[in-house]
Amino acid sequence: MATSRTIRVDAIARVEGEGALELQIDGERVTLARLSIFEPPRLFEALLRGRDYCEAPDITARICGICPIAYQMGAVHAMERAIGLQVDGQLRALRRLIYCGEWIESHALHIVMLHAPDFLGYADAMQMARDHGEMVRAGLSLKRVGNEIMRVLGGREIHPINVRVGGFYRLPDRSELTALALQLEQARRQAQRLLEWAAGFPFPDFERDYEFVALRHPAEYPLNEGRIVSSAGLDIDVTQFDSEFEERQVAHSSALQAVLRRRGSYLVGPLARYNLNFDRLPADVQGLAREVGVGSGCRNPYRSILVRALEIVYACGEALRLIAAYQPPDAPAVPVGPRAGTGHACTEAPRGICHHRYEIDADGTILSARIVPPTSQNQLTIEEDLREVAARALTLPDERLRERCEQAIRNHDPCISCAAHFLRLTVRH
Amino acid sequence: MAAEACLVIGLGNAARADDGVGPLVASLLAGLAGVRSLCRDADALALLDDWAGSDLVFIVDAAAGAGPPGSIHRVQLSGPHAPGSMHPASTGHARVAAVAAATASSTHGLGLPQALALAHTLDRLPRRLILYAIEGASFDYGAPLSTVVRAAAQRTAERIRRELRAVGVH
Repeated sequence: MATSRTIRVDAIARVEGEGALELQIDGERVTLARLSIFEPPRLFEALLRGRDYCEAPDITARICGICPIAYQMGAVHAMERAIGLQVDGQLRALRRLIYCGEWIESHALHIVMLHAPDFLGYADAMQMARDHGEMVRAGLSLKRVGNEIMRVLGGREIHPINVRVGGFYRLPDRSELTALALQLEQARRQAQRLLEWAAGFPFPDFERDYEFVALRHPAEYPLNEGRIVSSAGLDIDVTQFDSEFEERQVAHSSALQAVLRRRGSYLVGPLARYNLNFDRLPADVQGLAREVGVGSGCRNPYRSILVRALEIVYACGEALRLIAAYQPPDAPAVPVGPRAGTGHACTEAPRGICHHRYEIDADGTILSARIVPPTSQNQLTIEEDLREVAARALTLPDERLRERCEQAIRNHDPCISCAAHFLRLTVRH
Repeated sequence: MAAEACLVIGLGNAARADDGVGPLVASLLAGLAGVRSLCRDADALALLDDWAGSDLVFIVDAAAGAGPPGSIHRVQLSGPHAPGSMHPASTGHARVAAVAAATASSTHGLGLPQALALAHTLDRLPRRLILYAIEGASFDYGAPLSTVVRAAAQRTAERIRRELRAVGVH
């Protein structure tokens, strides 16, 4: 006789924000796999309408306490495109540097505090710290270095205030950058230790044929710029985002779900970035990737923890390179002035591409705003992962199955607070 | 005796009425000689870095559900007089839980109890850590502090001043 099981987690732990998991299993079949996002809508896009274009980086920074730089960078690049401005040279380099800081702090937090306990069988990082104190210390220390980059360049660690359309309000002193470089040297070593530690975790044998979507830049591992490419051959300018991607409302989520118009679900984030840009990583990072068995490609979402660690190693090295090459520009920002126009931007937030589009009028008033954060793009893929993970683990008792499913969600480091950006909220019981 | 490195941390959000009592107390004590004061409104994980290098640390936070508005709880969380060191007597522990309830309900960041547990495990608690928790009356968005809690903030600041004087600081 077919049995029916319902696995529910009403408030998923160790993710950013509030979401729930629901799994319905009838006999040998998973009939429902749902990531519900019940965090209230944020209304940021409506909040931006009527504000001045120069206010966008400060307002959008408030979308997330973990990845404010992603929103600030999306906002400044889009506004600069709207007014026909290109920011280059050392100001561009400083933007890349502050973004490295965000990657380091966000990835370190996820690896040590949110994700690693899953692999080692601990309920949380506090318990894990009893046996793996050194690694928790290393993770916290990495997070501190990432935060420090954001503080030096952004004015403060959370919701930085020093980023503006055209550049920055204040440039860092040489002494501040020198101090950062010292910390980054140590951070890079700690990141490698973290990578080696995580490489020893037991990884479920699970791969999916995702369509990876990420930025691709002619020369760099992508942060602020690039074309939007995919593993299925997509290759578009960021201004074409709307013609290829679509956001849909689903009843069980206060976040819109994004899909590729012609193909459906896709995956953004470290795995996608890594698979599409392995050749843009420096040889030493590629070498580390091979040493820990990730190689040039990885379709196992559980192993994304290794890719995040590799990206921390990369971000530390890139930050050191940028600091070593730094020459103070003439001014902290290039002059800006409003003009009517529309600007698009896409940057690589720690969790994947984050797309912004703004329309402004001749005096710089924002007429419309749309922000597509990474987690809303990954929702459908996370639900598909859940369905497959559960289907392969039906023999597990409920508690173990629940843990396995929660881990499958955490593989993608969802930032639910960022994703919740739609008005209508419907909860199905 | 050499002055101890002292720190006052106000936890809370000034835009949420009485949740701003911690930051208010921290601001009342800002500028005291030999005392650093700062405010935090979110992730308690940052506390581990904040108090690194400090010998005597006061945390001031709003509480709910453990007494009438304006009442002040003092819980010593580490130090020579802390009952059970990191594991205060059951009443103290309950108070800590009550204080932290507001932040622990969120998954956005670590709550105070988790941060304390982690600091304990990693041996990163300050030598003396004292929590002042002040019962709030209202946590409405954008509302000012209630009169009774504002008065409690003054009393709390005075009590901390006295404690600082007792150890030769300020």
